[in-house]
Amino acid sequence: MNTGRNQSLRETFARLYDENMPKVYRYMYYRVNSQPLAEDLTSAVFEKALVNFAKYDSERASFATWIFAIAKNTIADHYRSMPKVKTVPIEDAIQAPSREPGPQELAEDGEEKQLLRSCIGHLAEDEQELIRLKFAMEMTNREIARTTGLSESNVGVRLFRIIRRLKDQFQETQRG
Amino acid sequence: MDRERDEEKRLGDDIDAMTKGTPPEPGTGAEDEYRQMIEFAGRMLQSRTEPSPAFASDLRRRLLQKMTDAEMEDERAAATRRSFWDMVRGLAPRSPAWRTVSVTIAVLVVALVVAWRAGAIFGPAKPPLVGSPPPPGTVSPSPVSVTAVASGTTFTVGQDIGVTFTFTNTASEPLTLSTFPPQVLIAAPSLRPYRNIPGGGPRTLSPGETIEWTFTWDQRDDAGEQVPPGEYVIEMLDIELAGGAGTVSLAETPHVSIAP
Repeated sequence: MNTGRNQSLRETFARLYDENMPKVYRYMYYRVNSQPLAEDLTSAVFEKALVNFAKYDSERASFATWIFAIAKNTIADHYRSMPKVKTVPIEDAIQAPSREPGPQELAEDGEEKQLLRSCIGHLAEDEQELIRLKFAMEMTNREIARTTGLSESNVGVRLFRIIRRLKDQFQETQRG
Repeated sequence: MDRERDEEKRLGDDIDAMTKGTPPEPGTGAEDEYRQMIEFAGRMLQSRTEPSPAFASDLRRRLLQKMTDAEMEDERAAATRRSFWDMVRGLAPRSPAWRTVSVTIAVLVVALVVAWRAGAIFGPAKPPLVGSPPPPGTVSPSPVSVTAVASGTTFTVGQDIGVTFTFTNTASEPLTLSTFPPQVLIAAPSLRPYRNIPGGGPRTLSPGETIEWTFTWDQRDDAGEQVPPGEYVIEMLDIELAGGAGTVSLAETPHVSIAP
């Protein structure tokens, strides 16, 4: 009987889920700017992870790296499944002149939050991805380097410059 | 200069510490600007949108339930297998003499099948039908090869980008592509799709025939807007061959770069 082994497998999966689900959700939310859609995509990621959990080899990659690869494929599938629908990324939605946050949204989300997202929206796409990996997926610079193919020192330098630019832009917008 | 290099190294570690709930140590000689950056990173961490507790617990419960269901299904299948072999063992004669006879008959049957497959009885066994599907788990090369070549690698903003797809039927019989021209998707490395070019209808290729299809991308997305400078990948969606003869996949997708 495998009951003992199955119990341990369930506990391992539950622990990895608790540690990584918020990261995947935040990443998805950054990408799609919609709570229901971010929830659907996060569910899809963990359903796939569950199906393939037996193939996961912790010696080859950390669970965070593995689940991120599934998340990227899931979001690519999502875009492919609806190629005719123009998905508006979070940053574009904030930048769009007609997308003024309503009073309720401001109360829920906070002006500062909106402003920060707007500043992120002005970054180049690869810079936004670095921000998502650092702040949503909570990856170390080494993990980001492995995921993106950049060197670890390059990741550090780029993140430093991006965050400095974001900070300056944020302060300038707050003042102005 | 050295200080900035040191801060570049430290910032990533300090953010990692903050995500774990540990405020970074100020360090000696940390400049005002670095402190401001750390404070700003803290604001960014606080501004993240977190999943609702209801969603988190509901998904957790559903996943663990699925795991339990799958385990029970495996157990049921294992029990069925065990009972089948118990039944087979029950059929075997208990007497050693009859058991020897049964094994001898079984060996003879196997030997006859092997001899028949080798062509020793009724001539060579028939080869499998051309086009019959491969056994599950095997991957057969597609009888239609496809390549895609861009007219360059680096382009200026607004410059037309030409891409030529070449399909060749390498089989000895006509094959029909379910979609020609192929459906093409132009996306950034971030996987954000910019342009979707719908595919066409069926197209039959004679044995050895090669066809080409060239399209020009004007660097505009589906909404007609100029895409931003950066790296783009041109992907072809897989094409099924009629009659289950296989799938045509583009092995190497062209990458192009639009310079700012």
